[in-house]
Amino acid sequence: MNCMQTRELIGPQLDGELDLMASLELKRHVECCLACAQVQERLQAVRSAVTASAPYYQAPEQFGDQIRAALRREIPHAPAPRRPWRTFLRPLAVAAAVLLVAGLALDMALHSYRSSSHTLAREVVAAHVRSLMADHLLDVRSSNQHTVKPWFNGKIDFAPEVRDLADAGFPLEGGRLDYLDGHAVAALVYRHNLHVINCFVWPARDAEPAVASGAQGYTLVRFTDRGLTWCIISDAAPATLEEFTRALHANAATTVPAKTPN
Amino acid sequence: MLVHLDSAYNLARWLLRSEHDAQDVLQEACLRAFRSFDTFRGGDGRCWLLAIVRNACCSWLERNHRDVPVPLTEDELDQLVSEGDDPQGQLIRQADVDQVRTAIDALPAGFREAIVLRDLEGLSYKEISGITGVPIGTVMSRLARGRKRLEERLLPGLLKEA
Repeated sequence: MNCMQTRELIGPQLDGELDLMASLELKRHVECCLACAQVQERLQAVRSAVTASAPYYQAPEQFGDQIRAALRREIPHAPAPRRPWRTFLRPLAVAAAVLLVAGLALDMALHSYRSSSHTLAREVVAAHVRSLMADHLLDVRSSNQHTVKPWFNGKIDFAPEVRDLADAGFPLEGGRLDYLDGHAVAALVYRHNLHVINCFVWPARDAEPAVASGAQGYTLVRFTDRGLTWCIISDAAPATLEEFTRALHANAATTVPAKTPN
Repeated sequence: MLVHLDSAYNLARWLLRSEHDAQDVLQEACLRAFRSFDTFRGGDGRCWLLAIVRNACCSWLERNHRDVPVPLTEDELDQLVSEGDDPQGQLIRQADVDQVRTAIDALPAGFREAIVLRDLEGLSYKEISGITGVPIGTVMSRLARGRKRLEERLLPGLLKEA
């Protein structure tokens, strides 16, 4: 995402109109681009000034009474409901349209799922299932990030950020070593109620756009953050996984990254 | 329909920039909405009413050219400053409100309408696009340009505070 694209999306992001993936990309850009960070800050300031200080004009009481009185005078002239069959047919037509659109969307989704290879996604699903099946979920069992992070020393040649997210409802369970896409990867394990969340982390080859997808009933979220690719998988609802990804990022934001203009 | 009266009033008041005109046009618009209730296609009643009010305001503006906002009435001034504040707090609050209000009043109607619907009414881009009858892309660019103008006008003051 370059500066021009970023600036167009800053407003929609503050308005909550950006999907998770686009906001992650935007956040990644703003973290390392001082100029865009300033644009964001100024826009945020303008928005809060408007919401905090622009008056919301309320209808004066006597004006409300005046309107109510005027409407009451209208009631004898109120038009009788016409063509009752329309009110009966309209919901049917709407339902038919909704079914048609849903059918088309499902068809397209299935088609795109079948046609693209999804090799990595399949591998991630397999690793997730295997970790649960063979009872080899954890090599290091601890909710203490200072135990889990050093455990990876000497086993892999990168150091993933490990944080306990119990406050957000995602306690850290521990970690293990896994093997994906031809190399050793760190697997961080979180839990949400009875759902296990596996986070596979490995060094990014190049900055990939963030994606979310589903396979075999699992939800996958993949993004690149500070040189590491994160692939998160769980059988929890997609919304839960979104919340988890946000918590992961909210926590990461507490460490101040070095800012360089882009 | 009257549960959305405040929303409708706020929009009309911002678009017409006059208490008196807002009440005149809104009363007319409410009657029109009431008579055409059979055109209501379900969905969000607030957006439906706001679209009617917005159109009424636009045709009023076309008929009556007025470039300068009408000053606030005494009643409006009283309503805008909360009673709990001490006199000094009231003065500071009044200054803030005046500054932001005049800056928004100075915007072209299209920008003003987008900002009022988004930041004061809390509507989504899609809902704003439905009310104003312009594509979502236009809503986005009006918001961006309107906010840019507000930034130029308000930000020296905001930076001083920070």
